[in-house]
Amino acid sequence: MNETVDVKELNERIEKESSFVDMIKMEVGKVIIGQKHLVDSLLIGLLSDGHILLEGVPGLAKTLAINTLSSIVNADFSRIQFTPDLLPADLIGTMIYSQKKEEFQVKKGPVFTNFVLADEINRSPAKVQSALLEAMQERQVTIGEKTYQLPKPFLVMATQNPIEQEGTYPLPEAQVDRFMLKVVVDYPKIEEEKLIVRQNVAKEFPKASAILKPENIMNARNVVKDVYIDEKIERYILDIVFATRFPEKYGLEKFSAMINYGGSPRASINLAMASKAFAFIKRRGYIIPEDVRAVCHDVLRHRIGLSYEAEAENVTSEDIITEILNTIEVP
Amino acid sequence: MVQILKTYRLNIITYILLSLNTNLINAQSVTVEAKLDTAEFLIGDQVGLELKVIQPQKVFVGIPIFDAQLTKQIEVLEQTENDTSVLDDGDWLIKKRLLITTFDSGYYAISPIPVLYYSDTIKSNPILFKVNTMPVDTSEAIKDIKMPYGAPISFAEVMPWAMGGLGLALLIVILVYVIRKIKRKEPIIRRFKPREPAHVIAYRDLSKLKDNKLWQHSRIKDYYTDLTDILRLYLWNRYAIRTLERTSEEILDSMKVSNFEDKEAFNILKETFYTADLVKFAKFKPIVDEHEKCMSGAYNFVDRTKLIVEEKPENTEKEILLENNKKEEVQTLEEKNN
Repeated sequence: MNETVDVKELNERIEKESSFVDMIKMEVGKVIIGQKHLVDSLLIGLLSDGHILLEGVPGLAKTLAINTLSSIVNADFSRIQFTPDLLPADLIGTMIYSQKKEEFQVKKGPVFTNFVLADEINRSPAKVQSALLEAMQERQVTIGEKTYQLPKPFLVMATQNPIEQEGTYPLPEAQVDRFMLKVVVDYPKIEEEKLIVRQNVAKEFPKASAILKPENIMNARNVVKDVYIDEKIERYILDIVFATRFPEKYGLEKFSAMINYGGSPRASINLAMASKAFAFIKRRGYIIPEDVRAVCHDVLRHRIGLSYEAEAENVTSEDIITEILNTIEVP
Repeated sequence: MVQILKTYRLNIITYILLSLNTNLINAQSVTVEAKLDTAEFLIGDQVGLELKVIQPQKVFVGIPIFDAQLTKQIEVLEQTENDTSVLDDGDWLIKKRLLITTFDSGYYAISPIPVLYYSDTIKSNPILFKVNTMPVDTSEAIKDIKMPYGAPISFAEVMPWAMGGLGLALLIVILVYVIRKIKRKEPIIRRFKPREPAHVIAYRDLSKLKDNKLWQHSRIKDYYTDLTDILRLYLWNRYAIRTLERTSEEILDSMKVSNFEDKEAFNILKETFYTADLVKFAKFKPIVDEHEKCMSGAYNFVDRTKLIVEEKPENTEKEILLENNKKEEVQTLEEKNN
């Protein structure tokens, strides 16, 4: 077989560079039972420099997952519980007057870390949410007159509780768009839960070992960017995103009245990036349509604005994405 | 005489016998009485008129049958048959009831009704009665005459019209269709071509792909795209597996789920899809043999999986001739025997 040199080399490089993925999965598996999709999503976010919005009821190992990941990567981790009285300064930090030195000193907030768990992000008012989302986007924070870079890698995993909606501040569409993935965490299976119970009632809770350094992640990110994306795949991604905007052009007239707005160009970018990261996790140097389909729901579900008609008809963004995937021809 | 026979329902012999038996008549009396239910009624009301005849037993009395008009103004609406009962003294009581009405007010007289008793005629009493109009309340204002009330239209009334309308509409549609077809010079009844079997389409497309010589012109990616598209279309036509919107892996999974039994064919397809995916998405350039291998693999897959419908073979010309010869031979033998 005569392969073109670049993809063959890339494939070999990725085979080599992505070997840590299996090790991470193995270490995470020591602590977290089940939740494979959650772990994969965390890895995609980590490798493609994206942030993750998690939706799930309490007690589904969301905190444990990100905590374990930070310990495996040997990175810093902080958990911020969002409450209605939280202030932006509590998050990003503030200037404090030192009487001893007779000057203002910078007190950095908990956002200055590698992994941030923003627990129940919708419990805080818009100004606090904006402060975090700005830090997520810019990867830097300005306190007083000085701008501080956030450490690398920087990954935010925000959670939302789908049940108690009273007294919450739902994230505006523009803010939600900044999350690369919105992952819906479901209950574990009965066999998995049996093991979870056993693990938690045992004398010692297992611990994940630190097997990577943050620099390894940064290197891996560069390799992920090199994953080959063919024009056909690009076209497929664009078709999917455009179908969320103009469903009637793709034979999905029934959704025209149900979609208020479709995915933004950021959706296309993130779908491509997440597909690359997924191909990397699968230890492949090129994207195939399976990769796009595997991440499509997580990338698009929070980027489709549903109309009143959709709510009346009980049509969810999940249904729309599934139908789009079942309609658009795979290259 | 004819009128008498008709009115009293007698035949000519009975009439002659009755006339001859006049001498046999004894002194027994026959009485006829006519009585109206009321002597005064409203215009248009229906009132009963009873005719009673008392006669000795086994004596013939002819009670008339009334026409629709009793007089010019009095109408007969109904009349009963003669009702005969035996009285205590052995005489017969014959009753007949009429239902009469009139549509004009005023005083009326019904002249005595004649009853035939042998050759004699006995008459009833005359009847007088008064027909009143509706009392008019002069204190009230004069009102217009009310129009007759319209009865609600029933389904049965509408049905024939609806059916007629539908029939007419159908006729117009057929006419328009026929006129259009004639104008376009198209056959009025189109015969649908039987759907081609999946393998026929696949063979044709594969042959076309071969003729296009895509890989020979360095269009390797197009060659593999077309090749997988042909196989996908074949799978859809042959197994009704939705392939065009599915990835290679999903298609293979669907085949596993639908218990695809030919493992060799499955592996051929898997290998072809895998190579095609590498070419399409990973810039992979297979060697020339690989192109041929994939093409022959596609043919092989279609060969192994095509649906063959066994039809009863039609007789060939030779067979028909042989059969005809046999028939002729039999005929000549029969003729000889005869």
